[in-house]
Amino acid sequence: MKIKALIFIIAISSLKIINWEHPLKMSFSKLTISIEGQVDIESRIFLDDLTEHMEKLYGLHQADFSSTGSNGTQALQRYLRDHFYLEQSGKKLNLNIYNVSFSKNGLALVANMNVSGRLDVSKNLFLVNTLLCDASPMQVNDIKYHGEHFKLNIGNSKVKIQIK
Amino acid sequence: MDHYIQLGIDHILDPEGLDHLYFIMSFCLMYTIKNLRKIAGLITAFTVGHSITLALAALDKISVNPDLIETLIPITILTSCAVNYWTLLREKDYVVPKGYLIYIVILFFGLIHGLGFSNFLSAMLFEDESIVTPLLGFNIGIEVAQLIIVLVVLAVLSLSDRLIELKKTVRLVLNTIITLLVIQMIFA
Repeated sequence: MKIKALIFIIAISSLKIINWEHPLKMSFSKLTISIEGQVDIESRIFLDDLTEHMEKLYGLHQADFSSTGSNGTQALQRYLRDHFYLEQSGKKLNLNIYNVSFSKNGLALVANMNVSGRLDVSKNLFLVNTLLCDASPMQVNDIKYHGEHFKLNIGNSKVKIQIK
Repeated sequence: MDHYIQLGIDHILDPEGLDHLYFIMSFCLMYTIKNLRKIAGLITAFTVGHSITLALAALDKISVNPDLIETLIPITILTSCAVNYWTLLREKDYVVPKGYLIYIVILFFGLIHGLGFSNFLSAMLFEDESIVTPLLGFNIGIEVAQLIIVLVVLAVLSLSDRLIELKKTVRLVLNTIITLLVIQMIFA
């Protein structure tokens, strides 16, 4: 009887340990740098997480990401200034969203971004990505460059990119 | 390939996305380490099921509303738990379930879970990216994670069966935990 009670208590207690946040906190970005130093980034961000965070952070009633001019995309553009950018020779290079669309199943926002001007391809580049890390400490942002994957998160938000 | 294998493993073992883990646990907990052959058969049935729909969906051959899939997955877990209750409560003592219908059911549920896996895979793939390596790697990762879960569940049950004589009670409690967690997942 005592063992039954103990098992029951452990069972009920275990319910309080589990975190009920929305699962799979990830974003995926692909970085392309041309020979001339032009940057192009395609990022895929789960729409529900992004929508919730943009609405909360910028007080939007309903975040809309249907075009580059819509309120959600504009909010994301502002958000990128502090959370997703490049650095070269100590200079911060902000990303500009030039196109938005959705993944085939509609679960992810696909944002295409570039940088004003060109990079110096002879110098090292640093990429900072803390997208949605302020929404969840479990967020991991994957960056793909030339077949190599870099995983960034709240504890490791910056990576050095050797331009190829 | 390694990257996608890791993603497949992370997808199953992610502490914030435990629905697939709960499903595997729900059908494993009715067996013991002595039933490895049966467990292997059930895992194979689940793997065949989810591999079929994962591949078909990733190749755009089928398309199902993601919200419908996310609703059906908890239902598969609750159904599995309901069958466990029926099996456990109809006998006085704990008895290993027999029969072959379970393989068909697990395969069918695997089809549903595969569509769930494909939601994630489809969202993360870039348009100009070949599907083959990510699909294969992701599926391998899922299998590795499943094996880990099965081994851990069987090891825990094996230890529990040695220490506690109340085999049926332990399984009823574990089944209840899974049921409550899934119900909480649905209504959260």
